[in-house]
Amino acid sequence: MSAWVTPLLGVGVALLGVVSLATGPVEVEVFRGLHDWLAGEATYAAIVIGEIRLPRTLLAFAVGAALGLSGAALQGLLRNPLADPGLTGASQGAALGAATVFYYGILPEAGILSTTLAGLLGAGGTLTILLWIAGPARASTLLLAGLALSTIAGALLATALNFAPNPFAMQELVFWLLGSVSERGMQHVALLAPALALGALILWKERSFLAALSLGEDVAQSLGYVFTTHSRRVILAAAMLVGAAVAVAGAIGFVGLVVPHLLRGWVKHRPDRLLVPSSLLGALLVCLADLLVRQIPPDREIKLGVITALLGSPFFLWLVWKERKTWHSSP
Amino acid sequence: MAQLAMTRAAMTQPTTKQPAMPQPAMPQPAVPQPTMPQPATPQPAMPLMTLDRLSVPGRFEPVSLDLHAGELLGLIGPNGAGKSSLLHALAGLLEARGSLRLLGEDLRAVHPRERARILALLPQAPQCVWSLTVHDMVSLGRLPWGNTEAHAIGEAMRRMHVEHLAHRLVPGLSFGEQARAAMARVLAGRPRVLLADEPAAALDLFHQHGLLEALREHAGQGNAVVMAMHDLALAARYCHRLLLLDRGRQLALGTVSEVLTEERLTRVYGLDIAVDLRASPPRIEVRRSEVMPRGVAVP
Repeated sequence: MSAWVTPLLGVGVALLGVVSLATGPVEVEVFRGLHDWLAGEATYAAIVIGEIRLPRTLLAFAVGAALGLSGAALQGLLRNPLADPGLTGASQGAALGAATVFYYGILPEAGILSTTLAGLLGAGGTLTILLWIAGPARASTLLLAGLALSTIAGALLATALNFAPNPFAMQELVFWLLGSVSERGMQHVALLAPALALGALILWKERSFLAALSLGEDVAQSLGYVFTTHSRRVILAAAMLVGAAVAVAGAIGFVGLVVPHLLRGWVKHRPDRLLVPSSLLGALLVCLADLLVRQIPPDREIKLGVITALLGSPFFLWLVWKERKTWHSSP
Repeated sequence: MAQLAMTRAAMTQPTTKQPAMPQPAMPQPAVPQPTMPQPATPQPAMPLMTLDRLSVPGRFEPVSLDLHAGELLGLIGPNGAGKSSLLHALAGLLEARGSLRLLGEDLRAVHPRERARILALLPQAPQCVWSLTVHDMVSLGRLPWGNTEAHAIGEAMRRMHVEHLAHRLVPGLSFGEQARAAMARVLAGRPRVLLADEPAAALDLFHQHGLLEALREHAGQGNAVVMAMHDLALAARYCHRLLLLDRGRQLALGTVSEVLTEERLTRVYGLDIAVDLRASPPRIEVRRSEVMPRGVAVP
């Protein structure tokens, strides 16, 4: 059965992609629109599909894939099913970076990308400080440093909210933080894509290290993996994925935490085999949540991050309840 | 590096073939008529491992010895003697002073992947964090080789009698079954030097002997095994040489009869211990359980 998980999820993502492209306030022919858009024809269908729905769909997929993948990698690294990608501090760093844009209006020449660029800078900055502070520390220390940095970034974010220049700026900031993939273009996809590709590549190369870690740090070392080097690579990749996802789409919670859980049993609990299905299921869930968002009239739009939190948290509680006996505490 | 390459070539051969290196005299099969292991006689030119005044400050004081192919070396001594630390230092997991050579090469200069193909460690309390199947866990022993060679994995599981558990989840097994599965993981990598910390501690009598027979067989195929043990009678029965440690100091290194003397054991363990190595199997018993004065100044 475990061999079928990835192909099935792949088919699911493809089908959902078509549904997502077909969903909206106006009826358009998906494949004709795609064809026209690719051919460079400025038909009505081509504009609706190519300029509005395709970026939104691709962004939902990319954000979900980044979150699911980083969650699976971090849980494997920490050997803890409760680890959340936000623990690296990258997501709060990205939020802080974006908040400074709302606050000071920096990077005006970047236009609508300014928030995203500032978010990427914020995530990158947090990550640099994290790796610098932690030195040759073990994974648990590195994540404590991440947690501390996350708290500092959160405090600065609260300060920014506190001294918001006007109610409008504050509202903008809060809405942005709630997470969304709407009103974004292909530029946003292009910004997230390199981080996603690089992060995924690093994690793919580290998959055997994650498998070795199932047997503990000492055995992983004795199997030929220098722990500090490999664990830093995993944290770097995970933080890059989360930071970029938050920079582009705001904070979308619970995906990175819940997705690896849903799949673990289907891949025989192997942390190395969890990576690809987690990215696919993450993509699937975020796109599904975004489809839900689109069912609600735009005047009272509910944000994507709100939906994932509303659905994700009770589900997570249920998982804790169901699996509380089978969990093994990490050392 | 040439020596390492040679060793790697030798390792890819099926382990059932006898390697070129001369063997020390092997003990007789233990189960029908257990006898004392014979002292290891003329050694091959190049030891698998050479320790020259190897020490870890605060853990154990300088230890020097050569580890030869075909040898089963037992580390014995009371709790806190430094047995586990020595094993970790041999595995390259603890920063150590002095010189440690693996196949003639400084261990620190050997690439971690290369080292992992030659050296394997079974820790005292093997972990399996996720609910892996026994087969998947044993396969992890092949990671240094970058393959999942079915023959090596199957043979290791057969030797440790865990074949029938292949599809069971490791955390659901008994401690003894987990210990056997963990040893199968180590054997699957076919290491030249196998380091094991109390491998038989969780096992019943049948599987204790099975595991030690398997380790002796592994050593007999041109490899070496170093294991920490508390059961002195088992150590006397299966090991070719013993290293006695106490409070981090190397007290004795030699054949079983050289190391296991009544006087020395009585001093080290602080109990009145009777040793009869001519019995079959060797008997090591506590004569009186009152605590005797402990001392480290044993010749």
